[in-house]
Amino acid sequence: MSKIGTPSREQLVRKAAELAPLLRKHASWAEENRRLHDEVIDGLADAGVFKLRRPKRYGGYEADTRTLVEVTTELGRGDGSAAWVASVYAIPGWMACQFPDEVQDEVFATPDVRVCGTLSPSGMAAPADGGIVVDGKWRFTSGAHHSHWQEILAVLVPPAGEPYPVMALVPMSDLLVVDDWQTSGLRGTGSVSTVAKNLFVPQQRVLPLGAVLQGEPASQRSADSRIYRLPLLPVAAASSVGTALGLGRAALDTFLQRLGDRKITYTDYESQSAAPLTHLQVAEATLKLDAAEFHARRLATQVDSKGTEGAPWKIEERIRARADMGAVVKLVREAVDILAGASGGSSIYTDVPIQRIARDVQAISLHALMHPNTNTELYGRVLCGLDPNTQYI
Amino acid sequence: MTSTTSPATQPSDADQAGIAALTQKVIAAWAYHDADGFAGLFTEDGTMILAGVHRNGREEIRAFLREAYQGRYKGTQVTGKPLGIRMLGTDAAILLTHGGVLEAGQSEVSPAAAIRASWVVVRRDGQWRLAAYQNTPANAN
Repeated sequence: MSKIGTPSREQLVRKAAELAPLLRKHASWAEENRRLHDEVIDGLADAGVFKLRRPKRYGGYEADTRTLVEVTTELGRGDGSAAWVASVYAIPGWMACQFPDEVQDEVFATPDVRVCGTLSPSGMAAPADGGIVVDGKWRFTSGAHHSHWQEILAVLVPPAGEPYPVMALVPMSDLLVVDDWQTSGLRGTGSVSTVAKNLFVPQQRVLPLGAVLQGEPASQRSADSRIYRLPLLPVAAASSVGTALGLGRAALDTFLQRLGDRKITYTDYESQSAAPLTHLQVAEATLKLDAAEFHARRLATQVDSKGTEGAPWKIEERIRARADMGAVVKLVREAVDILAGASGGSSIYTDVPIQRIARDVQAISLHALMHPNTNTELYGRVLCGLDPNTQYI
Repeated sequence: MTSTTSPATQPSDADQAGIAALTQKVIAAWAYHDADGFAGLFTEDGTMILAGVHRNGREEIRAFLREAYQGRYKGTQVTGKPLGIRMLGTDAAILLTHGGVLEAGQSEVSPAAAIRASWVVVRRDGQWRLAAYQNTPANAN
């Protein structure tokens, strides 16, 4: 680590890259047990991953999203589930910084605190004396097993006026975990369901979701910070793309590694690497990954520049952030499809990483906020002069 | 509302959300296997009718659930979503839902377990409560 205490981007990315062997070692265990191995969590902590988006005043690094993209890309080269969980912690962890300072004091009293949560308002809340009472169930709670807090979204029904979505911060001990994570992809993420029953949340741990979507932190210190004074969705988009990029790179790494001693069975090709078909496939996949990297880089640069400038976001800019995220996922998926399709019958054995990579990329591409079709359609509709058909921008 | 509106009216957004919240409360109470919590959503004289089950009053409902959560429903989850809500005056409404019991390991309700339900709900001290709950298999056979 550097002398001034905050490591440089290069140092953080190198640390993440050095974790790859540990992540690969535990990737199968994570799939079988449907959660990350404790040693992986420890490794991520040692590499500073949980400090990336933590406020400096609590010993964090306040790293920009470009750093986050590059770190999670390296993690994704090791294991998609580990990278996904790291990027998930980076998003609700960042959302925690939208709360008033006294709430942040409580959350960040835990070193390497981990906050999970999704953006689905699948709970209902009613006002109570000094706060709200929440009932609900949240699926897809990645990283819940190793979290200290969860950000839950619920629709608050006020005594008068329209119901509106709120974001509440609750300790994991207040929630019931329902282990329903039986999936085909991202199995190692432990994205179980959590349940709140008649749960009281004090008012200071409740924020209107609208303020977070707009990028209006309740904390003045966050409102003055280049990394926290940003709208949620572009930040979430920039925080999410690294896993996909890393999986794409992992697919290429593992394909090229296996290429050396492979033939094309039932043909005269003694070496797959001599076939023009293979050349076309490898080049196409590589170019798609390069293009994916362009979109990820453009997305992160936009988010980081806006934060540094403290500039407002135009609708078109917010939508382009979603479009860039969708483009990364689309291009990575196409690249992985090509490489997995060229990996032979032997690649369906569970110890061959590319089959897991393909399943993980498939899972990512079905995510409601990451789906390429949804994002591309949204971009196109706004380019054609229509209003966006979602609040999640 | 205009004079041409029928007695059964559309709920306000707040009533709609408050009534629909009952489904979330049932889902949560069920996940905890909390018989008291589920039964507490009923009025004192509330009724519950399921296939082969008819319970009168909160106490009977509580006793039924307590036993079921240790037996037939142990390890299960329940899911339910509103199909529609009609107000019957200002403090009573009918909520129709679809859903059912999820066995351990299920993420979707099986066709055999799928139900549609009628919930007669009333407002008591500002809280929406269940006065009557009844469900029927969604599919024939």
